[in-house]
Amino acid sequence: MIKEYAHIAIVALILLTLPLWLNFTTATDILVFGLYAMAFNVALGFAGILSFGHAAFFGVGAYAAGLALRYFGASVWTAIFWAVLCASLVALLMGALCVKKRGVYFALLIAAFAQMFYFLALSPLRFITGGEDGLKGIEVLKLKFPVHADLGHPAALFGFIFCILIVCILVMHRFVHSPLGSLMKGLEENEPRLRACGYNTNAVKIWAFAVSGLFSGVAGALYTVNLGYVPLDSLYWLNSGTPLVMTLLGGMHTFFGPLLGAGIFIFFQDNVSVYTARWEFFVGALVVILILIFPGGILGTVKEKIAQADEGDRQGIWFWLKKLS
Amino acid sequence: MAQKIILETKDLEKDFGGLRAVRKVSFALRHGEIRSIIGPNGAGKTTFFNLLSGRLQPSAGSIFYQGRNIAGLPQHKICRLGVAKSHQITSIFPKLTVFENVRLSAQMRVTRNNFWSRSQSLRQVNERALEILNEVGMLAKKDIMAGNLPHGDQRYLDIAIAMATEPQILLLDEPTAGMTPAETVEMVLFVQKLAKTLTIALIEHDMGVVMHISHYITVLHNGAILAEGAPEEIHCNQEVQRVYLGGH
Repeated sequence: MIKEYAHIAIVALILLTLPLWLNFTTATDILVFGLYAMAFNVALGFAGILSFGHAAFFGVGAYAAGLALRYFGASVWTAIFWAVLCASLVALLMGALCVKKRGVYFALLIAAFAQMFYFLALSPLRFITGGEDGLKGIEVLKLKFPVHADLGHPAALFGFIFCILIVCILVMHRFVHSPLGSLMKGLEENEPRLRACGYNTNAVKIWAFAVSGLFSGVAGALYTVNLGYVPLDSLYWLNSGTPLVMTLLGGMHTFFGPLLGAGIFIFFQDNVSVYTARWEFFVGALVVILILIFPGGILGTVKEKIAQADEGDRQGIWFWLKKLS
Repeated sequence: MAQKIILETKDLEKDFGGLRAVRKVSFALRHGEIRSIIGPNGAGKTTFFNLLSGRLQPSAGSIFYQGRNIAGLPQHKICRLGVAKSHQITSIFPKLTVFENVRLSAQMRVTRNNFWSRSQSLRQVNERALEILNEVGMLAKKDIMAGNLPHGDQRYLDIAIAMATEPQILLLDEPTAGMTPAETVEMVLFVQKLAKTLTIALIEHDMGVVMHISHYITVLHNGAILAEGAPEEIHCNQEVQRVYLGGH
């Protein structure tokens, strides 16, 4: 247990050093999408639920926060509260409606639902969402509680988002190690067996999905806070694929893998796009290469190597990593 | 045996499209007995078990468990009432440890949607899981990944998972399938030990096992009950001889 918290502390320290060797914009983006990917992985890696529609939760969170800030003069905290509420309700509802479908059918049904939100924001609700232009006109945010800070300042913004991310990590960690979290593992492994053990597996599925949506919503809210506006793309289907790629890159059967995947993805996206507008091509090629080298994701493969490390091989790097962890 | 009836079916039927897999089965299981269900392949034995455990919904008829009609209830509710099943094709959580397999199942009686405690810290559940692993003789293997266990051990683990739900009735679907003769003997002793506290119904193909272990035997043929009786009666029954025991 202490070991697990030590892992979280190490990850937090590494994240804190990000602005030292990247710029604040990239570092903050990594935190936001890291949270998004980790939230996505609560469903995929821990409960075995594949979804192609998480953009709905991320985007609904982003718009809920944006609308609260833009039209109701809400504080940052109130905006995040609305994002959490709306995103988790949407996830709960979509999960409950689609839960009877399995695997890819579930994923596609969710994707179809998610596209509805995209079109809602694009056209019928254009008068409040700003349609294609996205939601603009959010004033520079100031944090009043618990400390006064001007979120227009990159360092303050990074610090604020960092703190929220750490809280979310602690809560998600607690959740996946709870009795309900154990059931999610069972769900992924052998759903019929879990049902035969007296559990309502559909309910477990819906809860896992809702929690995943909730934290995706927090990520969406942080996205709004970070950018100062809400681009329509936050709801677009491509944004459902982003956390999937990040998760596979980092390792879907690890807790922190998606965070690492998000870091690598955002780092290359931000740096390659400086040189070419077709950054997707290069980042895509890189992702393919990395996944071929690390079939279980980077962290997943490293974890496997450490687990298999030979006790006698005192020269091997994996052995020492095993000792360390 | 004059014990009271714990499980009873009345005119139970199951259709798969045009195929009637179970037809008008009226069957009564007495408290504390070991009942064998036998019959040729395709007789509807496993389907019948799946109806009892709620994995399949009956097309017609009723199932009374402790006087209550449970036909049509979802499987997880029937399990919570006390009917558990081990599987013909071993069904475990292969990538979890042996201990976690049983712990996950034992958790059901204590908490079902606790999302905040740490699973590992539920003392009552941990103790129960260890107790059951001890009972099936797998305590030493508790930290092995379940999927890495040999076949025989996986069969025991499947039963251990079912036991962890604290059932009144345990349905065993071919517990000795794929086992060596020595392992089979062990399994027979194990089932007899279990029967001291549980009511057991089992599907079995090994006639040696069936004749030795059963208090009572039900023979299914083409989805219907062909004969019922004590082992000696079934052994001598001409009809059963014809369709199943010897004559083909």
